[in-house]
Amino acid sequence: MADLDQLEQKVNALDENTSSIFSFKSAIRDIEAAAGTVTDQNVSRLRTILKTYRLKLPDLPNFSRIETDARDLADNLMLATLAKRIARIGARNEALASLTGDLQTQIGKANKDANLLKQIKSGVDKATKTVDEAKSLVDQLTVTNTSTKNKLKALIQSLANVSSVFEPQED
Amino acid sequence: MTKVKLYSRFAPLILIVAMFCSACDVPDISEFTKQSAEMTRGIRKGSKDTEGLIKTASARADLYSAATRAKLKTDLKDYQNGIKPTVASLDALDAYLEALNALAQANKKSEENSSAVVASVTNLVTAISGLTFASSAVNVATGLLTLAEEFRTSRDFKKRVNLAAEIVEGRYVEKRNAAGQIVLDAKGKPVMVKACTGQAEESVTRSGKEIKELFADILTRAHLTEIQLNTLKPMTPGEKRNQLRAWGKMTGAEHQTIRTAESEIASWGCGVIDFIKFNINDLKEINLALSESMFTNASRNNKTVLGFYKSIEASDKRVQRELEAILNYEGLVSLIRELEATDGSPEAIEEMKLRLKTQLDALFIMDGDLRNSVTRAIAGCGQSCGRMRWFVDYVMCDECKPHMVAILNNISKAQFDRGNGFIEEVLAKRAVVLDDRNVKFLDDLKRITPSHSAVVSELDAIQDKQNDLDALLDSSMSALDTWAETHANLRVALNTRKPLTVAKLTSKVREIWSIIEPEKK
Repeated sequence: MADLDQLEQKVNALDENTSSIFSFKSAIRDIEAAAGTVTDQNVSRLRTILKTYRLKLPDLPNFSRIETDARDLADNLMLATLAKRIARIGARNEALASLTGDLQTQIGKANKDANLLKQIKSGVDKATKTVDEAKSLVDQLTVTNTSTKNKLKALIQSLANVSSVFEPQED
Repeated sequence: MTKVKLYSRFAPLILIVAMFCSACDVPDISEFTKQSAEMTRGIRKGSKDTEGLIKTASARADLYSAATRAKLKTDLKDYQNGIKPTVASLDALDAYLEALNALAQANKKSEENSSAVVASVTNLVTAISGLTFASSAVNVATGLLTLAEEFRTSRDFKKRVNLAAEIVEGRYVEKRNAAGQIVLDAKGKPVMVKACTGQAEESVTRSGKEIKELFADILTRAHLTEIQLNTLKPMTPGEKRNQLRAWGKMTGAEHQTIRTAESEIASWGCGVIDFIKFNINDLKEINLALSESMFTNASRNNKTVLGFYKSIEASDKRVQRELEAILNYEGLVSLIRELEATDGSPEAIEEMKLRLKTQLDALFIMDGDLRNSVTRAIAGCGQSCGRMRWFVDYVMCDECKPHMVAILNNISKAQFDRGNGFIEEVLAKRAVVLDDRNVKFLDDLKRITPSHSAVVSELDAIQDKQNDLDALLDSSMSALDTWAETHANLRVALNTRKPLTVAKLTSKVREIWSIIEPEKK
């Protein structure tokens, strides 16, 4: 970090109009050296230092070689960052996919639960309807009527069958 | 069958009602579902924009060499493959809340309907209590109870939320103080904090990389047959490892290394939200690196236009500043004459003459030629200007006021006026030259402005896109935190039977969309 501090000061001290070509050359050599040892945490800072340097570099023919070196280094640092960051995402993907898979399992279960509740609702609707019909028939039981009794028995039996709409569920 | 006995056989049905009544404690999560979908849509936009940025850069032949563009195209493919699990996890978050919402809605309806059926069945039982065939209804109730019991024990809403909590939010651990003791809240309960903090991102990434590299190495070395490769294809990573181990392609030590790395990843207890945040953090760095690179390369390509414009602007400013200083000098000379003509106080006249000297020194600093011309003119005036030569040559400083005053006291009014007459003549000539230069610079600026504006617009566009994407990714990270917070609140709401508020998440989502669609803000 101390090296990057010094490098930053050195680049900040450069002036497009007043600094000599030797100062610019010295700075780019230092930046190149830092690029070889920079840690992942500091690569972004080094890129910023290089950006400052390149924006200060005079647009003169005798500086063109330095500009080419600086541009190549900047492009390489950018590409390295890009590759590294994509690789980081890739390195965690298996763990993320595993968690997403676990979540999908829970989603499946929740959806099954929701469907189960829909089935319960459907069963309840049918039971309600059947019971309403049974009530209506029971109302007619003021006189003993064999035919009505039989119908009532059949109806109650169908009420019992309502439970068949619920199928066994897996967890 | 007695009435009491008959009712007692309906007890299970009453239990069902009790179970369903607990369903009415499920909070309304439709707004959470809606806001979550908007959040994930915004995050998908961020990942898509990052892809667009790499694609744009890979097509900019004016900014990058062929080799760099080729590498960017490879990176683009890697990015597209690498980001797929993140997009899948965002889809899963949506699907999860949609399923919970469907469950909550179904719960609500079931509760309403179950009340209705119990009322009806009770009425029926009352009506037919004298009959002996009511056992059929009891069978129905028993069937329902079995089903409901199954649901209650393993499928209820709360359990779904709690089971998913660790997957989506990540694990919580007891907070400990510096001495390692558990920190308690005001109610004496342990304060819980997220386990996935600090070095989690680096550690998980490092272990993930270790597994990936080791696995790739094993596959390269294994020389698997076509049949073996096809066998592995549909398997999960864990199954693949076991199969490779069974085939003798993976050593025990390698298997152990992978298991250790997996344990390391698991030990942090990071959830889906944490992983998405890690990835967004990487997207931020990709955006920064690529946008800065495009900006700097575009600036360098247009250095001539930018530099020329800047130089003309700076030179014209210098000319205008000198013209202003000349005008001020002439104005001061007039004021001194006026004061002397109207019997002004000697102190005021002296003060103004000192200011005049400072003005002249400033002009000399700005224009070396002018100094030479003035010095020559005063020298040409000779004795008739007296010590005006000293007035011109002497450089003012903080401590030299007495000396300057002494010089001024030794210059007569006639000498002062004559000397300034010479100086003003030189200044007037200089002003004409500067005026011409000013006109030329302004013409140059006018001529170069269209191309300069085009360059500045391009640079601004790169910068604006970078800032917008950065802000979108920042807001996405913050929204993900709020999402986890809202999910944690959902668990609390289920326990406390309080409604779930999603105002904070709504605000974060609005923030995301005001960045994506600022015109709708």
